[in-house]
Amino acid sequence: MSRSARGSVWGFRVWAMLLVLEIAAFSLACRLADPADSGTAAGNSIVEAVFGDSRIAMSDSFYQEADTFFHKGVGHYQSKAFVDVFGKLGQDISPTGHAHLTGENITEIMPWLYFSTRMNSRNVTAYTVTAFWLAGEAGRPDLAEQVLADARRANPRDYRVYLESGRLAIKQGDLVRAAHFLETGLTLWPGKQDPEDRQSQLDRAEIRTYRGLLYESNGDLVQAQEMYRPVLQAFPGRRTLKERLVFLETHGRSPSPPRELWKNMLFRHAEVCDKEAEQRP
Amino acid sequence: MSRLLTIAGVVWLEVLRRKDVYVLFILLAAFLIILLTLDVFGLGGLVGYVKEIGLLLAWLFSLILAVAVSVRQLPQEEERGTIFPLLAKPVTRGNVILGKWLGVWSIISLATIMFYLLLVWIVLWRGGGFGVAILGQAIVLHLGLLGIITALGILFSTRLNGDAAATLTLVVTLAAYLVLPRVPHLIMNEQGVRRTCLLALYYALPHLELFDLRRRLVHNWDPVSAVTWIQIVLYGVILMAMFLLLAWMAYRGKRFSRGVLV
Repeated sequence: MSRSARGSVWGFRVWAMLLVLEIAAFSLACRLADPADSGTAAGNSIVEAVFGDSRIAMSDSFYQEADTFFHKGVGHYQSKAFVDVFGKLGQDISPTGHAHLTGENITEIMPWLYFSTRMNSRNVTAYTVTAFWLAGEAGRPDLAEQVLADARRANPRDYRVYLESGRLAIKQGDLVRAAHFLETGLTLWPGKQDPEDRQSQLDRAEIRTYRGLLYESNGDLVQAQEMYRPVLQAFPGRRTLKERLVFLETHGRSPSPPRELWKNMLFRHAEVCDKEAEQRP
Repeated sequence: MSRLLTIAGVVWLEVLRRKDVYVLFILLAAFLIILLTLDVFGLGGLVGYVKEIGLLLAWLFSLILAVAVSVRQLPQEEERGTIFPLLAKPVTRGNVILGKWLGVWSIISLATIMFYLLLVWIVLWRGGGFGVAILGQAIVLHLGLLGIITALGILFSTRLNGDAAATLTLVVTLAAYLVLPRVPHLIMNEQGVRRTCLLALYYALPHLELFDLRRRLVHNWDPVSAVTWIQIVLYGVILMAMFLLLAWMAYRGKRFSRGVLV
């Protein structure tokens, strides 16, 4: 065999080897990266490649900053072993009291929530809080819908996104869509959350309560009762819901329009902050 | 006084020649423009985050300038050998320390005021604003902080080379700014030696967090009371005087030999 023929055979073998290695690497990459689990937004982010896991801490930090902005610069209370002259001066220069952004000013927290979601597309709390305020005081439910669509793309298996999507749909009066989101949320619960965690339990109870109210508004009282019973098993102290269930069972009709109850539920989040303020000395 | 001004003038010329200030000013402008171009969920007219991040950058850049410029003044004179003709003139070592500090502090203060002016202009252009009184208070305290940091940098550079002095100044500054305010909370769960060490740090290091009025400024709170503000200014003046005195004490007995830091 001539030298040039040997050379071309050698070259062919090298290329064939390269091709086999490339196919093997591609197959492994496809196997290692599970797009169904990570969601579409999570795998492609430049931020994730640059910052690695530190982005999670940064995302949390941006979320904290949003909270500080919401309270007009007043930080969280921290107990102290002593307050000396430096501590006193520090207190004098720090914003104090219980203050909130209100009305359109609430949008000032949005950049921090935006940074938080961009740093960590798995920060579902940042997405849901963003959607809550955009749909509420900011008066931009259209933007809230976009944010939740992003959240669903990035976290397709997290029930919390569907709970918030359901809330938004109820606020917008789209009850069929709301029912669809809540059913999905109930199916996905608890996902990666701890089922014994109190917040997870509260979330499931909330999903069931909203779903029950939607059944009631459709006239399906039996299904509504099916939704309320497990809620009362988990939280027997919920007097209003207990009375409602008893009324449904005895009278065969709703004691009050379900709309009234879900309106109360949708806008009660502000109370959380008031309770926190009460705990300060 | 004229000797101090002459030495300070030389520092100004050196800083302007090296163009650090221009570079940081352009960087600040670039960062602010990037911030303005961000599309936050399609919402317009947001200004709070521009204030917050702009002030953070102004603080960061002024800190970098303060440390970088202050720690290189004395070691540079010694490495180049220009300390010999300088001290051969009717200039005391105390004059050198004070003149260098005055030069560094004044040029960095000017740069910091320029940073603030740029930020204020951008915030106004964006439709926001700052309270004039609280802005004045915040700038004065910021300049006071820079005076302390430059004095600290000069103190460390009397006995260390530039790099070591810069590292030490940054460590002390960041520890003082970030850790000290948390000590009263941290010691709640500490006992014995750790508790004593934390308390020793708490009272030994300068409380630089007192010079930070950014939260009040960003969220449009009222100015702090005049009494509190004056107390903090006086505290700053005392710290500056203390560090400069220590620097003079460290420098007055120092022996120089050509080409080698002693």
